[in-house]
Amino acid sequence: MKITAGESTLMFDEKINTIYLAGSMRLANMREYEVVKKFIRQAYDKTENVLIIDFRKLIFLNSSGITTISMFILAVKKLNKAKINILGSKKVSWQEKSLKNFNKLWNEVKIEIE
Amino acid sequence: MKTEIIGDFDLIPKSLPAEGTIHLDLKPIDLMTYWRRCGLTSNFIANFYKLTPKDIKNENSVSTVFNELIENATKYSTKRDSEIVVDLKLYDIQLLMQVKNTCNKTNYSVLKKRLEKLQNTEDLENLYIEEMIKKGDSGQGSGIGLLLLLKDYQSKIGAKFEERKDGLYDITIQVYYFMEEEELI
Repeated sequence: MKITAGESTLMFDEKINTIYLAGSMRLANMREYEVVKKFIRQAYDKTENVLIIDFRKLIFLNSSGITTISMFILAVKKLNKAKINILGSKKVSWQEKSLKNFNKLWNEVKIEIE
Repeated sequence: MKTEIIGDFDLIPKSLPAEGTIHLDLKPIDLMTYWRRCGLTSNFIANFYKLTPKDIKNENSVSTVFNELIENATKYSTKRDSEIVVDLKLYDIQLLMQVKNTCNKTNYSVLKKRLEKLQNTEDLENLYIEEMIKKGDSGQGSGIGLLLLLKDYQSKIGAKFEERKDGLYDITIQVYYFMEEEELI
């Protein structure tokens, strides 16, 4: 499963329950982020234990994107089905600074910054 | 005509010479039509101000911070005969990012209220959680950009609101971002 959103791509490897995000995700508004929201939710619904979201190659994510991911975390927290693991990179400073926010919304979200 | 100032505005005296300046005049209609120009402008500025060729941390942060400002100015400007005026000045490790645009009374009120709330909130982490929960229930738009700049980037933010004769408002936002010095190699 793979889609393009603006200058970014999202790919879901069902075998290892991992979403890979790459490029620059700076869509104009929440309406444009619907496609991203839908993609991540579909991947979550196909996952039984832990969904891994790999942000390491996502160079930029604007605040509408952070809101989209935040709202996804809150929605699946209510379901409490699969857990979420988030991978980030120290080399990409937005990840070091802002990925930790997702754990504050649901303490079952694990954040690994390498 | 009324002028109001909120937050950390004009922290550095204008008489102090900056070490690196950029001035850009942009049109919100162009940026709205070709949205990627917001990101392109942000990336150019970030590349210009990084401290060394390998300074990818400051480059990513400056681009992210400035992008929030230019996206906001684009979304909330009046569209016709309107301008976005960008001024950047570097003072040692402090980068002043200033973006001026013109908006209607509704957008002026929303932004003023937002900045007042951010200035008067001590626990920004808690505000982020509260606002996300509220948005999750209502499904409404983003609006957390300035909060993230204060919270995650330890920026200082100020604004000047100037009422115009035509009923519109000139809004000048200033963000002071501190470059991370450990990147100096």
